[in-house]
Amino acid sequence: MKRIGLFLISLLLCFSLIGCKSDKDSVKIKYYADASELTAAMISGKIGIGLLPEPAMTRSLSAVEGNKLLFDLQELYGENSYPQAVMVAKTSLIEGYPKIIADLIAALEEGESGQWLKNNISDGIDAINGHLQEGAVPSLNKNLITAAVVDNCNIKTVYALDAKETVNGYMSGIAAIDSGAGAAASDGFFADIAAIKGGTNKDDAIQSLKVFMPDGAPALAMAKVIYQNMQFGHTITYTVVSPANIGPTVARKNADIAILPINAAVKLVGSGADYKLLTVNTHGNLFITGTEEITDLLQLKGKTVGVIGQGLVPDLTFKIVLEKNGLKYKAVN
Amino acid sequence: MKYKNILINLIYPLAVTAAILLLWAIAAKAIGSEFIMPSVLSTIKRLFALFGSGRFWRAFLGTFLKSLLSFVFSFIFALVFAVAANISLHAKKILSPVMAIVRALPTMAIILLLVIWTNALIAPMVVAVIVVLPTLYTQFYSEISGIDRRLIDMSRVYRVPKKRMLLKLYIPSVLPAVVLAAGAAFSLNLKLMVAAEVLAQTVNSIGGMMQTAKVYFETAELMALTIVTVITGVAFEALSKLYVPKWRKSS
Repeated sequence: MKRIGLFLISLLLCFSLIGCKSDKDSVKIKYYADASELTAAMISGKIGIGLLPEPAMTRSLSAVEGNKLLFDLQELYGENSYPQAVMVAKTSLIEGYPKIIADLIAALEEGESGQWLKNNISDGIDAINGHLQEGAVPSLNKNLITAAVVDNCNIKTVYALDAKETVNGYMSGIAAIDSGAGAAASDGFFADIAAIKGGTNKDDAIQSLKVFMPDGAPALAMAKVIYQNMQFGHTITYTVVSPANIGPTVARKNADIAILPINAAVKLVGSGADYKLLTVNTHGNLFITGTEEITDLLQLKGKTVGVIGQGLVPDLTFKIVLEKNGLKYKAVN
Repeated sequence: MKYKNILINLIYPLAVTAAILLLWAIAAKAIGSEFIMPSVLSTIKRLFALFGSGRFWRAFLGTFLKSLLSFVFSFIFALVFAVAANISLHAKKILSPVMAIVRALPTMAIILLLVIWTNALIAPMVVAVIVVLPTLYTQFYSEISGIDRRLIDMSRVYRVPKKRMLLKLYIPSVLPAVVLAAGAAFSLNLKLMVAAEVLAQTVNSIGGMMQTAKVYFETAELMALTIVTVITGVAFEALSKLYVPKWRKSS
């Protein structure tokens, strides 16, 4: 009996030692699976500060009592912000049908900075939700999206070669945070949009060109294209999938064109062999909100910040910003 | 005879393992994508890379200790409840429906609730207890109630002291089955712990590392972590099977 008791006590001790390296100067990061879980934790008072993407950020300002916008992560990152969602296309498609690519990019540029969407929020969100893959739960609620929310989603089309330095810089940044997260994109990954614009399609029409995008802010960039069901003289299907499925969709080469997070794109297809990067479509939609009076990032020392998705863009970008400002961080349960 | 036993006990497991590896290699070659089905070689390389990583050992220790703690808790309470149910009809009538309800709770749904009620550290341990405790209780109850009634009656007739009955009759009768059940239950406990850690995003855990490997599209690492979990569970089951024959010989 004594032996069992001693054994259990030593177990507990080992156990507490593993968790217990407390450091008052570190920013504590607590992970949540998604924005609704983090917002619920903020509403119940379990956590006072949260890093949230739009449109969840604006929703949290009214849902959580006393919640205020504290920091714009894009401004903190600097360097004209970071690439977030990007568009890739199959190399075979670019070579055979460059005009479709050029027309699609032109259509995205027409809806520039989400201007069309700001004037047609209801139609745009309905169109996106109407193209959800079967079984996917919609995350965009047209009643909660305003012109300000669309602005906060930082929708802007930047050509691959123009974004190359920013993309490489961001990927090195996240690799410095966690080597498994980063990867280097080969030069051949960045498509030459100017050359594509000058190209002509093959004669035969494509019977089924599949475009995939994840639900949320990245889909907003395509709202006008989806609403007008642009076909560009071929048969194109637009499908909005849950964010967890976009990576596997591209990995399995089911998508001819896909919008996906920059780190997933470089990790999966950064060699440029099967897919090439066309454009960067969104440039950061992350914001830190909190119920506490915090005006300086350094005041986050010793505080716990809720972050969604361990290892995803919000987590990695937040850590880049913390390190830039000389702040230590540690994950907590 | 002894060598034949050793040979049989080695050859079959090795053959099954080899068959699994062969099927895996064929599938990986057919699919041709490291993201969807990594090759056996890249997975083994990743496995050895993990063994050299401090982050892996912290995670392994975290998961292992949590599994051990929750398992010991389940074991002790399952035994106590099983003994109580055998001794007292009232206890049995209370425990039966409680165990039935706990057994029927949808495991992964409970994890989501537990993360809200507790935190990412406690939630996986509670989930493991919710599944393993009723399982062990049922096995222990059946073992204890299966003890030869005639031996118990004879001990009572000869007024054998209760402590002696416990040490010389009850415990020796149930120990082999209890140890075997414990080995299998620890393996189950570990599996549940890892699954719950993935959902709860527990820091310093194998489940947490699996979730990170998934979002980084490091499928080889995900497979390697799975292999580590399987080996640990199988090792504990095998240990329990080894202990039982040794105990039988010594008694």
